[in-house]
Amino acid sequence: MGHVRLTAAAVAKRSIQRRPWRSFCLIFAVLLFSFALFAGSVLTLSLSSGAESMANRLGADVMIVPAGYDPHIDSILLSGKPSNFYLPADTLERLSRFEGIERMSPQTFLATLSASCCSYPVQLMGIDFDSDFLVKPWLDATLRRELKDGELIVGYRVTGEPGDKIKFFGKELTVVGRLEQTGMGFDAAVFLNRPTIAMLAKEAERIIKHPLAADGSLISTVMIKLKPGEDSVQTAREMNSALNGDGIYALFSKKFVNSISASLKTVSWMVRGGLLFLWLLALVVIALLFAMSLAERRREMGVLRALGASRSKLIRMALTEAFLVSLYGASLGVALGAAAVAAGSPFVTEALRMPFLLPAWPTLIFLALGAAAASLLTGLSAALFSAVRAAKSAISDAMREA
Amino acid sequence: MRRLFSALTALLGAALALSPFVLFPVCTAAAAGGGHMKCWYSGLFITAMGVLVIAAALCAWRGRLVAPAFAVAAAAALLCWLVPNGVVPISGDGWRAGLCGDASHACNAVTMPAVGKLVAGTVIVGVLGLIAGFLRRDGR
Amino acid sequence: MEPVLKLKDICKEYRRGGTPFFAVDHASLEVEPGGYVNIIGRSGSGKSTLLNIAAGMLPPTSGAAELGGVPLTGKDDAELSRIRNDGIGFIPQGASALPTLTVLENVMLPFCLYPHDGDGCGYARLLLDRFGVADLADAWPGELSGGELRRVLIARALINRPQIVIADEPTSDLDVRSTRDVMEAFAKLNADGTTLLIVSHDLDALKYGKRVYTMSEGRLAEGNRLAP
Repeated sequence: MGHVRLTAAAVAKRSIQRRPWRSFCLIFAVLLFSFALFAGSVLTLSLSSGAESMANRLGADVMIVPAGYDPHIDSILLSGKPSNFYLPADTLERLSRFEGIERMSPQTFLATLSASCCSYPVQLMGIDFDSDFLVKPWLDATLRRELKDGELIVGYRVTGEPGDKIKFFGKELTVVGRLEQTGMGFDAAVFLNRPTIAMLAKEAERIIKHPLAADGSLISTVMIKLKPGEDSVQTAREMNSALNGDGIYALFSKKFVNSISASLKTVSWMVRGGLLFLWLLALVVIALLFAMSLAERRREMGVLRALGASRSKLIRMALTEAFLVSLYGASLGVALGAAAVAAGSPFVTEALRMPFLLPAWPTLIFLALGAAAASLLTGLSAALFSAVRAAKSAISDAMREA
Repeated sequence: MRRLFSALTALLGAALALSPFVLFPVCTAAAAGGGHMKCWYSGLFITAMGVLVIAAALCAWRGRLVAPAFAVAAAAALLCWLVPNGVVPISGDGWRAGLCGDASHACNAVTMPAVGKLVAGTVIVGVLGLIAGFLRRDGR
Repeated sequence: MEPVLKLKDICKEYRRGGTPFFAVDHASLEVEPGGYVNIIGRSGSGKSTLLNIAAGMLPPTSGAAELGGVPLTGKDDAELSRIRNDGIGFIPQGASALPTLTVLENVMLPFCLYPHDGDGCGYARLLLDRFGVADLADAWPGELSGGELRRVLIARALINRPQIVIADEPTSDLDVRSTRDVMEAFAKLNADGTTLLIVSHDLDALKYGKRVYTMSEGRLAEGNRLAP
């Protein structure tokens, strides 16, 4: 014969279990809302972080690419889709004639092949250490020396730790560092110095003819930093009118950043709109289900009042029920949201064509707790009106119900 | 309800366990340096997780630790997606779980799409089982 | 000796289609300790309304109600609820057990609503045993017969050792045998010293009480005014 303790939570839990379908709908409504709130917040924040990272990382005011390749720059910058393209040999000399340029940094691209079935195509980026302002700040802070021949730095998503050896075109190179996450195509790229990339192109010639093998000085893009006060739009326009006919295209990076920002705004508004709709739906569904449940139990409430439960106690009991249901739904929703974010994050950039950078762990935990709390409050507020109304009923009227 | 969800979970667990080497096999070729490819190790991991899902489902069927059992089943299934895709890296001495770089290879084209659907199904059933466990009446 | 329950000149006015009428019309009643009072009357005579006022569940329009010398009027809901929980063992009409709790938990319910000293669970089992339903402690109310359930509700009414037990039509939906069992239980309770106030329209219940009042059109009069 066991000892029984009857607490308010125990009474509430019994009531929840007694009506499984109604309780399931309540839990599901809260689950759906908390899932959307958490996943939606993480998505919006990650897209903002990605856009901010891109704006910071790009550093360049103007990007020079071969004419016709300007649409492809999206793929490279966003997803690191490997590309091979090269500017005319005298590009740097032609660009040096323009005023307003503070510094120029050439980069050389080389795409690996997917010859080996366990490898996947990677973008190799040869940087000019003296003029570079993309990777060099990171190098200065971590490696504290220039990149030597035969060395490489891997992007965040490329497999390889400092000290590892990676083979490209049959040549073994040493990993000396890993870039922190940028949310952009740099995460899937590998950075080497230009002599090394020229050497690799020669090795690549054993498999496929490559222009870089013949001329190691070829460059794929030039990142240009303008002097303070210079207008990047105007400069790009001037460069295009002078150089378009020679196969060179100038792209002001703000255009790229702005188009990303515009897309981000649209996505953010869609997410917010969706969340507001879901919140209203959750509120209405929970309020309706609770009202129905408490109306059904009017006589029960009357009996509790007759036995000595005060109005405030009755409201507390009803809210305890709402709390338990909402807590369960909110926890499950946030957990599912976390699972969806974890499972989907590697594919978001490709799907949305926007940079994506997941927030740090403390921020994710804060968002999770916030989403759970908001869902809990939604469940409680939806139930409050019905609970108060039920408690205010006259005891004799409530008990008269058959 | 609980038994229905337990049975479904066990079925999905069995499908997961059999996917990488029986139902939707991963690439069979050896790696460039001899030895197994990353997708083979992923296949082993998925099989192990599938067995764990079945064990959890049996636990839930017998009414023991129902909520934790469904939670473990859902988490194990989710890992079947996260580990091969590199979100949760798993590696050891001379081996690493992952997928082939070529999208046309069996692991990418056949195995993972099927595993993805099984994972989604197991997670959904696991969540439903969790809710059913919460709503289960004591002694009934 | 101070009466356990004292109702003085109680009135309860309602409006029906704009016209006022008195559900209870200047009713006065005193129940002494150990007393067993029956109130009889036809349907709609105002018995239940008077009972609700006596149990502190309905405020009167005018008049005074006292329980153990403590006035029930002029108190806020929290105070009145506590008085009701501690001092009155109320048995509502019909099935009034909570279907989501076991029989034992239903009996313990009033004890658990507020902090009380002692072992509520142990005393609940004792009460169930006293009324011959101890083996039904873990059953659900829906599984009990009418008579068994009514005895459980009597046990529930006693859990807080109240000053008075008030029952509204305790045998209204019971068969003859169950009615007899329930009324004998009440008689035994009273013999053990419990004060009872029972409202009923069943004239057979009268042989179990000590005093009888008749309610008719809101007016309370001592004696059986319904006898043929």
